Amino acid sequence: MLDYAIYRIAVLLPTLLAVSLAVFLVLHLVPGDPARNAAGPDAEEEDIALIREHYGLDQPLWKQYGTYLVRLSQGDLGESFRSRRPVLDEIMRRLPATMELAGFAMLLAVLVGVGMGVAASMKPNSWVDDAIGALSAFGISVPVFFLGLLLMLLFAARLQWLPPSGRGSWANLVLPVVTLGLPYVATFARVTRSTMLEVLSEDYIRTARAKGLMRRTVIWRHALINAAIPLVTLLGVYFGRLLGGAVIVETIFAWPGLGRYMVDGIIQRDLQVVQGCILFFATAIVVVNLVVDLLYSVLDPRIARG
Amino acid sequence: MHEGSIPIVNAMSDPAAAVPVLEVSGLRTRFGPLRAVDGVSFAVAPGETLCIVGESGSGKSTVALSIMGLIPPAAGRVEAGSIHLAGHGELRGLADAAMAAIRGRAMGMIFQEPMTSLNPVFKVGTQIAEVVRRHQGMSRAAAHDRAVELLRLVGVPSPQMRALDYPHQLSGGMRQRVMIAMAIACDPMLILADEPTTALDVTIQAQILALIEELKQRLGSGIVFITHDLRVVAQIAQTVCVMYAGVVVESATTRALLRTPLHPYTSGLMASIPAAQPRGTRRRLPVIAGTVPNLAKLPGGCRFRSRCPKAFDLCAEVEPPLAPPAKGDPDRLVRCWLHADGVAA
Repeated sequence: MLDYAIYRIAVLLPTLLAVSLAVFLVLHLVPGDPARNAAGPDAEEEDIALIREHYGLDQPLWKQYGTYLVRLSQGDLGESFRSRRPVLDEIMRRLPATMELAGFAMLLAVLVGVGMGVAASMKPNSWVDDAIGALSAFGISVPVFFLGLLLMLLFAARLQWLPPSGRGSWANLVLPVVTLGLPYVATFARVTRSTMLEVLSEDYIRTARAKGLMRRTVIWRHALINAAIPLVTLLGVYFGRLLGGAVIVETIFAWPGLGRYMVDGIIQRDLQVVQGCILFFATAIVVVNLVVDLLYSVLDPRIARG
Repeated sequence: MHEGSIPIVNAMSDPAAAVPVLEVSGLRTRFGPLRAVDGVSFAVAPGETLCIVGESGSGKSTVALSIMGLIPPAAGRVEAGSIHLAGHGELRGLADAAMAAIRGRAMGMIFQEPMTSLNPVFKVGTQIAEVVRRHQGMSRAAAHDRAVELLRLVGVPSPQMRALDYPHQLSGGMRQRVMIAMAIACDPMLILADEPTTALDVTIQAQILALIEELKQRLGSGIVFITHDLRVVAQIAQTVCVMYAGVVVESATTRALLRTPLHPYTSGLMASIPAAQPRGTRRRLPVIAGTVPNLAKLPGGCRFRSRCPKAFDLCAEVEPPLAPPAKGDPDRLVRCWLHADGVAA
């Protein structure tokens, strides 16, 4: 187990290196001059040249990447063209807001989604199952931006039960978390239902019942742990999508998180901010997937641990 | 070495005289239109091994699952009949929670597929311990000790270490021993074994049969042993029920049945055992032609007649009753017009 973990962490470095190169190349090869953008439309040519020199944008690409890597290794993600503040500081300042949003959305997906999936699998093709199926079809198919606006209109504008935007109290959390989490609630409900149905027909479930175990022990212990194995994989895959969704949801609900920071960076063509955010997101996804893989081998003893 | 806490009971003294642990009568179980079990009756005494023999689709496994209350409600249900377990009364119609309290405690079941019948994500010791934790309220530590003791009892070498293994780390034979340990964990009065040796190598089969026999002697339980293999019957059973298309077609003591099978189906089964043929008379193995009829639309008359070499007019018209044969042992039962009173054969 430990060897496997060390191996996986060692493999992490080349992965991250590749990610940094990809992000760097994409952002430097897209059309548009970052120095000209940073300087603004009315800037003199000399000023633009000065900016270009200051940020090393006049250097050959490979050299720029080298400098970038060296700085990266020192934890330096560069500084924003606009605010002149280190990008990493800005990211760290906004991280708690995004973590809060993504964390609660995941929690919602796991608790409500898995709960609904188990409930649906208990009585397949009953009205409960149908209702859950309809709800999850809605959750999967409705686009996040539309759902967000819909909820905002209904609960904030019309009923005035919840604040439409901003961050602060618990009430502020509800709409963004539901908007971000609903597609995952739906996905988890579907996957839980189908894996539970599969697991419940396994011979070892019949054995558990033959032992006289109580129904809840059979379902929540013997069946759900086996059904959880594919669910955990899903958790890793969807974490990335969740961060992507956070970018949209934060923009809709004026949530002061990383996603909005990145969107602002894109709009203002603030190269360092965009680059820093993408790299940060990518790292987060890679790390979460590592954790998920390790968790996977803890859950399923059949996976080789060498 | 300490051999476990199960007291040695002098079973087998006279099974017929004892009060039966299990009495099944008129059991009918159907899966939708399929009448899988269509009126089956038998009784098992303490220390007795009763074999239910038949080919796939004869309903023999359904009998065991009906007794355990393990027919999936979505698929089928026990429609009629009585399942009487000594000390617990009538089981048919009990709520699932009440059945769950009896399953694993008063009756244990061993399944055919040791490879898939154990939960892959739990250690085998934990899976055994679960039974005594559930039914005897043992602490985690006490239950673990009991699991190790049970593993030793069923002949698993170095039980302390094996208890910490996951199912995939054990061989088929070892897994079946684990299944047996779970089934006997609470010293049940009734053990149901559904083809427990079919999926195993021949040498392992013999060991498992010997183990079941030994445990029966030790516990004094009644055993319902389901098999399609008459050689297994010869080794372990005192009494035999031969099932065909959901009904019992013949029942007798093992000795009587193997010596003089009365029902043409039983004769057919015996003729198709390779070892039963005398040396030097090697010939093509006889088979019973045809297959078990569709249980959803059974024709009238005897269920076996389409495959029976001795069928005559009456067989197509009226289903024969399960009754003692006209000539011979009055303790036997056979469902065949050839042996019925007043019908010339």
